[in-house]
Amino acid sequence: MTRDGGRVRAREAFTPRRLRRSAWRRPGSGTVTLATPAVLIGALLVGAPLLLVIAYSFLSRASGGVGVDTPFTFDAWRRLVFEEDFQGELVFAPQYLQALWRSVWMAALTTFIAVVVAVPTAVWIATRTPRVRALLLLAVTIPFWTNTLIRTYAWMIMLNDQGVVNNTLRMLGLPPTALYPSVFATFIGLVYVFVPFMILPVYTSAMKFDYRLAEAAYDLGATRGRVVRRILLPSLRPGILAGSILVFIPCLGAFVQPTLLGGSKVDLIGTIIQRQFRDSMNWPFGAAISVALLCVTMMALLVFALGAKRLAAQGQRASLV
Amino acid sequence: MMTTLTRDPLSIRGLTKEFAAPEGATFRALDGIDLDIVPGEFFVMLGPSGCGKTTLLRAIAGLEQPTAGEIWLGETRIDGLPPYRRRVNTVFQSYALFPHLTVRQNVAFGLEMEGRSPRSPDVRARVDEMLDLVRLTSVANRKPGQLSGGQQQRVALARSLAKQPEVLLLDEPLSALDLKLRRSMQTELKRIQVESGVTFVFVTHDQEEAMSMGDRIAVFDQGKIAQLGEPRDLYERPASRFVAAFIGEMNFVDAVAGPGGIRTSGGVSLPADALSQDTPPVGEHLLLGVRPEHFRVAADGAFAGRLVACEFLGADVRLCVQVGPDERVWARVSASYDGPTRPGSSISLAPQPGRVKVVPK
Repeated sequence: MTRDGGRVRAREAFTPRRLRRSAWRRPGSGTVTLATPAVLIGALLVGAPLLLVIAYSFLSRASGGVGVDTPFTFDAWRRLVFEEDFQGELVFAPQYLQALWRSVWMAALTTFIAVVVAVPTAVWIATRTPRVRALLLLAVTIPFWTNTLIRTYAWMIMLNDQGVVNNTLRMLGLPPTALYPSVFATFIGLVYVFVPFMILPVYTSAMKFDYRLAEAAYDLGATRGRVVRRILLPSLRPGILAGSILVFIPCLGAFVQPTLLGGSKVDLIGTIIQRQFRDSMNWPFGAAISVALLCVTMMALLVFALGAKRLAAQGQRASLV
Repeated sequence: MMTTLTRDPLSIRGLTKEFAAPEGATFRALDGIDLDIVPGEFFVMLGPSGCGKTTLLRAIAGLEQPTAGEIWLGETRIDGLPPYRRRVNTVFQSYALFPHLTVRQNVAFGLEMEGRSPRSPDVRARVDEMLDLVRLTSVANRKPGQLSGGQQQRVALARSLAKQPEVLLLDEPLSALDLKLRRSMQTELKRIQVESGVTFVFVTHDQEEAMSMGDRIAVFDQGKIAQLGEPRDLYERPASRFVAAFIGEMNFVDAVAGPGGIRTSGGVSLPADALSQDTPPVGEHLLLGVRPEHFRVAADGAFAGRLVACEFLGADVRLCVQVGPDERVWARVSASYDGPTRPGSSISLAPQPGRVKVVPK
């Protein structure tokens, strides 16, 4: 082979088409160096802050309140479960564990409501014509264009005593209801903010659904309800699972909605953490609760991973895209 | 054990289906179909794509609402009933097996929808019987994704037959299989049909498949039945040029009946005994059809000309002969043919007496 021919081939090797076919595209074929950017970003933006938070949780309060100080201590962790009574003895104080449990429960309920809202919506969108589908998907994502905080303020305005909801009730001659601040308002805020994260993955699953399966089920004697329960819903499981991760995990640590819409009535783990860093100025304790929340989150992820594994065994793939 | 029921005939009366086409026009997929399907027969609906055969099948299944007409199953009018209230089941072209259920659960699905527990002994027995019928007992606990195309096909069949339908509708069920598997599945389907005694209505665009399996065949063309009959009927007495061309191979030749006999537009004079019917009145324009296998190579054959192609196919040899400026015919002769093979050689073909058909226009 001539030198010229060799150069031409080398140039061709980097056309997109060649690159796509080249050995690099095969999983596990790249060199370790190729992973450097990803490893760096991960270490800098995930690993380091995480280590920092864990380290903070074992340190003492700084004298001014901002930051942490030596000596090294387990005080913050002790405070998570115990408090000192008047005699200076440690007694079991479950208030923070209860808040943690309340957060898990609230996140679970929000996820459930999101599923109930998202499944019919997603299936409906998936069955429209491509044009309408694009418009509806845009409608689902439009809220992302505005800051979550501002959208939550909007709910405060709508739900307060002089808001649209109560004004409408008054116009209809019904007694106005104290909707805000309340647990109910918090739920509305959470579901409202997180439901698009459920709709999009369920929509992806619904798009993959083979509607001929529904026809086959009808043909075999299934009624509409049974087609939905026995054929459609099982096919949407990968989407529901992916959506549940996207809703449940951020919900677990949410603090904007409970603070703004729940007021002092809803004390969740997110609001407590935020309070430790701002109002109470107890960074080590805030860090300790954060790490505790992280553990709960990891357990939740583990449950989801097991679910995904079971689905994969049935030939269905759950992924976030 | 197969339960034998007194089965009901399927009758279709004046069935019409129109679809809204773009630009506000309507497209008539079915145009006044009248059809009686005899209980226990293997009935084939044959036609090119878009001829309406699948629409008719879906109308019988209840997946498509006809614009006009009636469908009767015995004494019951079924065209207004939802699919789950018709004693008719479908095997879909895509099989449409439920991916999250095992083979056994797939087969039991229809019975479960009747409100029977999948664990009850009679449902289990029925499912076992079906799996045995389609010879899939060994893969009963696998998921459809783990099966081959032919196996999936048989699961779909077992799933539909488990419901003991009066009529089983099959929508091009073999089109996704390769040729070898197709052949063996054709034999298999025929065996299952005979063993189960269920009426099969089979849709296909493959005329060979239709001929090999059907007791009777309806050839569809543009929403109408072009011809209905037994395979031999359709082959030997095609009712139109469309049917003649669709079923098997046919050479078409334009001709005029003259005082001295029949002359084709290419100038070939046919012997008087060539026609399968009496000589038509003088002056009439005719369309003649000759099957390739009804030609033989003869020294004084009427269709004399130059050889265009000679193809050896194993069992026989195909010859293409140019007999006039715009007239070409294909012949099919036995593999022992030892005449000229080089293109350009002169050759003459003679139609077998009584084998040239006048095809209705």
